[in-house]
Amino acid sequence: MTSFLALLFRDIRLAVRAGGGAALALAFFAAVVTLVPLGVGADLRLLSRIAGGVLWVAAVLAALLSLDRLFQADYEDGSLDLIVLSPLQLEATAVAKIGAHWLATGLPLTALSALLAVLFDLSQAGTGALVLSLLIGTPAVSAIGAIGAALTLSIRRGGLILPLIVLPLLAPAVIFGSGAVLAAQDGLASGALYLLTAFSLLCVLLSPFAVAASVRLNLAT
Amino acid sequence: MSEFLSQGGYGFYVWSSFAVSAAAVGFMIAFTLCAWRKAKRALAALQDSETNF
Amino acid sequence: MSIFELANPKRFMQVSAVFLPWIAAAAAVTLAAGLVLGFAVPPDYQQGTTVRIMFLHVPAAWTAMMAYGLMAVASAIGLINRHPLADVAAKAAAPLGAVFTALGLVTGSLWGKPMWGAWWVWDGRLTSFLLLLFLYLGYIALGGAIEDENRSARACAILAIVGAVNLPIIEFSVDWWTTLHQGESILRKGGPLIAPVFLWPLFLMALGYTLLFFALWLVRIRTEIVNRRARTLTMARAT
Repeated sequence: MTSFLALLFRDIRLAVRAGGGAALALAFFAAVVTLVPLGVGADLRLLSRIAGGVLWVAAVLAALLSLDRLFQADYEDGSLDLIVLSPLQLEATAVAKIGAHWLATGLPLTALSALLAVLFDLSQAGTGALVLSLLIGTPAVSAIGAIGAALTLSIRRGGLILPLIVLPLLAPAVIFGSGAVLAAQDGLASGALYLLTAFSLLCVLLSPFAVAASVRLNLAT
Repeated sequence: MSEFLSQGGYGFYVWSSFAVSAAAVGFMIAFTLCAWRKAKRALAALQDSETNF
Repeated sequence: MSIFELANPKRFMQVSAVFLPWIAAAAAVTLAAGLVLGFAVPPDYQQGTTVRIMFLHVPAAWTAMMAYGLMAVASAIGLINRHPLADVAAKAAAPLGAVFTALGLVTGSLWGKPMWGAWWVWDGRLTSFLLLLFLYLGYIALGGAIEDENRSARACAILAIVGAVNLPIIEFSVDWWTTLHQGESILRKGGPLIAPVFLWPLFLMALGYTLLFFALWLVRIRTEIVNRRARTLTMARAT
């Protein structure tokens, strides 16, 4: 347990310090979201309609941006070999990595989304659903993204392949997440949040195994 | 004949579907056979040079 | 020396060489019969002659899905049993599956324009098929980017299995999404019931595409086996 926490905190420290991915992901998130009204026009009615979708898509992209170094940096400087050799099970290592990514990226993105929702004139109910859906859904983004990151860790331009692998797999998260926001805006009851929770749980439960297998195959000689 | 070609007014869609399908199937067959021949030839060349030694 | 030359591939080469001409011939015959029958059927009362696009569209879509299924099964066998032939089979299926998926999308679009009035409709099936195409492309890109044969095969196998687990969820979510964003009511493709006259050409074309896929798949597997043999020979020569 102590080595699990040590790894978790080490990864969070690496992500949040200057040059780590977390702050950049947040800046990217804000920048992309700001560009959308410049592209589609300042009609607040339209913007509040698409707010959930835009913020969800931007959040997924921002999370992906910081994912490609999740294992690659450790792989390149050799620390991944040490982590694998440590008594900590590789599956638990994967959980720590996913958890650290979520705490350093997913959680701040969720918090920032409430602020950015103001730019889109999102209603209070919509904002609540947005924050809740991102809180539930971003772990799935980190978990699925970690699979992609582990699969591409030895590829030099892995960051280019990662989105292609991960984005189709994340379609359910985007659909349920933005669907929940839309339903809340319209005051409709919808099962979107339950479906998102189920999807997120499934991803978080299963992905450590896929991540561990991917890391193993990349370190095998 | 022209009736057959026009396909009841939907000629463009029907015939483009056929053209696209024929092109895709033809491409797959050609590409697959090309790769097969190339591989065969490469292996044969290797094995020939083996006997030359 | 790789285990590849000692294990089954030799036997696979012999057996496949016997079956391949028959499968290819059967594919050609069924496809020809399907095409002839397809043009012989009367135009559908609702869809007119565009129903003929169905004979190209639906079989391509079925074959694309079957290809992904076969790829996932081969991947699982390759991953669990470490059987190189299964690795080769999985990788050989991907480009074919991608082409069939793209073909299904394009013919679907050509069918949609006269029926729905738009080249693209965010219909549940079209959308999940577009995502399937991206899954195929990601798989091919990943396989191409990892140089080491073994690593590449195992990485691809993991991705194929993750994709296979996720595909039903994607399909479900997209269906859920289309009911949420109900557009103007559209004429359902194919309709609930297909008249028996249309079933025969559809069945023949589906069988023809399936046989064609298997024939091409076998040739691609054989090609990769020959390539690997050549590679081991060059390697043995170099040392």
